[in-house]
Amino acid sequence: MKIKNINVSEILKPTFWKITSVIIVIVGLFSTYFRFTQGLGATTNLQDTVPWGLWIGFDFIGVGLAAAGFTIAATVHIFNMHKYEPLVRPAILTAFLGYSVVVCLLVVDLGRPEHFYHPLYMWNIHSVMFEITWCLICYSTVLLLEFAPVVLEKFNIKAPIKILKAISIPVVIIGVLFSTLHQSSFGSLYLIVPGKLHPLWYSSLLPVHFYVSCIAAGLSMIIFESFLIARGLTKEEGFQNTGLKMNILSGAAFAVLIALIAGLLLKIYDFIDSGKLYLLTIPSTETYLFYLEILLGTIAPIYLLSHKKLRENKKWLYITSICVISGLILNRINVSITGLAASSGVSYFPSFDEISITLMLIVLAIFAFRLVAKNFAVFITEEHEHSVSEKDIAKTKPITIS
Amino acid sequence: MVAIFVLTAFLFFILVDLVVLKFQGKYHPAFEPTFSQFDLSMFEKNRFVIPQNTLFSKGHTWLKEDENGLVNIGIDEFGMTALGMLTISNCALAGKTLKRGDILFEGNYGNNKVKFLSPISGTVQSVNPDILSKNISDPYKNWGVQLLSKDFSENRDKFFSGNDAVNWIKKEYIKLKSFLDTHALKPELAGETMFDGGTLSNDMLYSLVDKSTSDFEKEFLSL
Amino acid sequence: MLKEKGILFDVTLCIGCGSCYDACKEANNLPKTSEDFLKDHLSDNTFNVIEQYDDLYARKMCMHCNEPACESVCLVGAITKTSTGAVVYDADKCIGCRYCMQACPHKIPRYEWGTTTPRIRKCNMCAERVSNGLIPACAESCPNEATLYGDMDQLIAIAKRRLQENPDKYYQHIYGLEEAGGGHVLVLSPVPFEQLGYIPELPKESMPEFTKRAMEKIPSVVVGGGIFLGGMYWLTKRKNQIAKEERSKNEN
Repeated sequence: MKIKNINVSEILKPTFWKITSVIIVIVGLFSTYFRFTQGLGATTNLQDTVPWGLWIGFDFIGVGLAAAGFTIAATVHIFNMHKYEPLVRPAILTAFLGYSVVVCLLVVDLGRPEHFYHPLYMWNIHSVMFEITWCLICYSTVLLLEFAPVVLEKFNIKAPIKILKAISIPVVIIGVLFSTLHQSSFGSLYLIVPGKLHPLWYSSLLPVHFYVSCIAAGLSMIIFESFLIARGLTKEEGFQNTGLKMNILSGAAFAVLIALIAGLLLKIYDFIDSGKLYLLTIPSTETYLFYLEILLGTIAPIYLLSHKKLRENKKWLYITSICVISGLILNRINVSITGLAASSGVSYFPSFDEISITLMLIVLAIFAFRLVAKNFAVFITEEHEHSVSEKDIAKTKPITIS
Repeated sequence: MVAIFVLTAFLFFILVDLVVLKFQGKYHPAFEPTFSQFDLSMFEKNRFVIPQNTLFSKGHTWLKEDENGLVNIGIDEFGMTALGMLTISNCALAGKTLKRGDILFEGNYGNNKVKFLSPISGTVQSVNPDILSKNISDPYKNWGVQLLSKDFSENRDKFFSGNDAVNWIKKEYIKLKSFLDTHALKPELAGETMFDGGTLSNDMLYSLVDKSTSDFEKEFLSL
Repeated sequence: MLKEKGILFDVTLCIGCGSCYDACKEANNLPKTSEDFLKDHLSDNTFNVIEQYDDLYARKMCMHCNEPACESVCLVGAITKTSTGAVVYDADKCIGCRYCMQACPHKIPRYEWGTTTPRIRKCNMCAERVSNGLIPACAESCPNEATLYGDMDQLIAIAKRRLQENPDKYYQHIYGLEEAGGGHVLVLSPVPFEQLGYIPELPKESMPEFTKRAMEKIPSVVVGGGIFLGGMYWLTKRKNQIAKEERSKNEN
């Protein structure tokens, strides 16, 4: 397989987002360099009372938004709803790239990144962090196995595909289990700080809250991403089947609705059960942000999605998915930063380097997505799995880098 | 504060993207003007009505035999709206004898000129003058030409009717969607051509990449 | 086995002389961080501080919990409890995730933010000195016996006797005995402890309990989830198959 000559003039043609991305990556690289040469103290606003900042908060968001990797895989392969087949590959790719961003960000955040491999052989099974680390490692392997057929089919290597097909169902089941464990464990991380985390968010049900919310947000992310793909890749050379598949997306939106309602009911139960309702009337930054989180991320989307008309309307579906994602962003940052601010006694705001490194990793992930989508058959039609069409450009054309 | 900051950053990038698209004169897929042909409700059977006793040919013309034994032929709804609103510019003249596959109508969606082929052989008896260069609101009420046909009955099984017709039309719309995904004009040119007529009506027009009008005819208008 | 050792700090006896502050710095080879030791705070170079509250002085340091939150959350096991009860740290294992700082109910661990090879820094009850047969520097240096080092059972007995013998002099509570599951540093005070900056209302359960309750459910989630998913796969597949057969039957 030959690598096609890179079309330099095509790559260099400036567009707004190309220039922005290049600037973000360059600035991010500088920040990364400073981070590793000067240490955390000089480049971040982290301090003894705020040991976890934007990076950890963003890890929670990234993992939550990558949840579609297991929900869609389960829908299609376990619940045999093959209508959603076209979403599987983008969801798995998103999950894999999402986790890559999270892992990179974790390594940047570690005080001793050169020791990153220690959890492999130094075990403390009582630690939630240990469980998360291993789930992340195992689930990334599962994602690789799930995505491997796409890569192998491009190079026309058939033998391993057969093996992978044979073990695909157990692999998917294991993937769902690992995801369930680590998605909820991100909530369990905070179970040990009852006195520090604001009671609006602290709850013995934190793991369940995290799990339910990641399902809704992960599916919303896939919807949002479908719009991104339709916006960015359609009509560009080398991409196929990038259009919006509204009938599938509104089906997914219905699942979002169910997950959101479940999450809301759980929250209500939790508040009544632990007698925290009075907290909602205390005016404070925390309360306002909590209201914003619930209204924007749960109530508004439930209202919008409960109308079949709006669910099937492109504009409203897009807006709703943004709402749900915003809700998850608020929730995760609220748990990891807002909820702890009062007990830390200092106000934390991320430094320039923290922000620029985060942005850089997001841009790189988007670029990687584009690159993979261009070279492998990521966007497929419903019938694809069963009858491989020869027309598929992505599968037969040579590898390109642009 | 950090929560608000991260949220604002997320929404900021979405907004900037919309602004960028606006500058380029493009639409975000979520805010594109909607095309009636892709409404989901379209695919619900009860809303999807085709007239009775009407046959559909693969070239997106419809046929209906009237009491005098003449075959009325018109362009179906798909043909009228596929790439935007169709205006019929030319039509076979009365008295002309056509063979199946000869050009019956010529029309254009904006700048895209397309030809509709005659589904049967016969002699043109009369032409409906109301169809030329006008917007046609109900394609099934406005026949285009009346033919005195020799081979209508022997070609009958080549046409769709009833449920078969509905299913076929649905498939055609799905096919059209993926056709547009690959053939509609590259984004950087879309802005210029879309507006250069200066008469962008509420029905948006698709501009196609070079030569794809012939692809369109091959895919959708051949018999 | 060595007996469990601990520290008893009695606020009523402390004169705020700063001997323990200086001794701690010396024993741990820590640089000077403040002109006035009473104004210093815990940092990567200060493991022990003395805070002034009117005419009372309170020591702040690692409480060496019985079931330390920091130990339970450390994914590589860099924080461990020695047989004497001291909570010690191994920088060679640490990957620097700082979960221990987040988890500590007493907000004790500090981090070396300024270097590229940072360590967690906190009191380790002079583990090295103790293994050489010495006692912790702070206890050794205290001129007024405000800080005592000894076997835990003896210290508890002393503390209880003091509360009993001088009920007017002491606020009737031994801080550190039950807070967050209890630890190896006990504090006696004439006033309620929140007035001296000690964190009030800590749960009596040890902190790892909170996590344990959730972690315990993992095996059942895995087994139950596995069976559920496998069952669902089989069921829905069967359903699709039956539907398919029906369809082909109808077509024939």
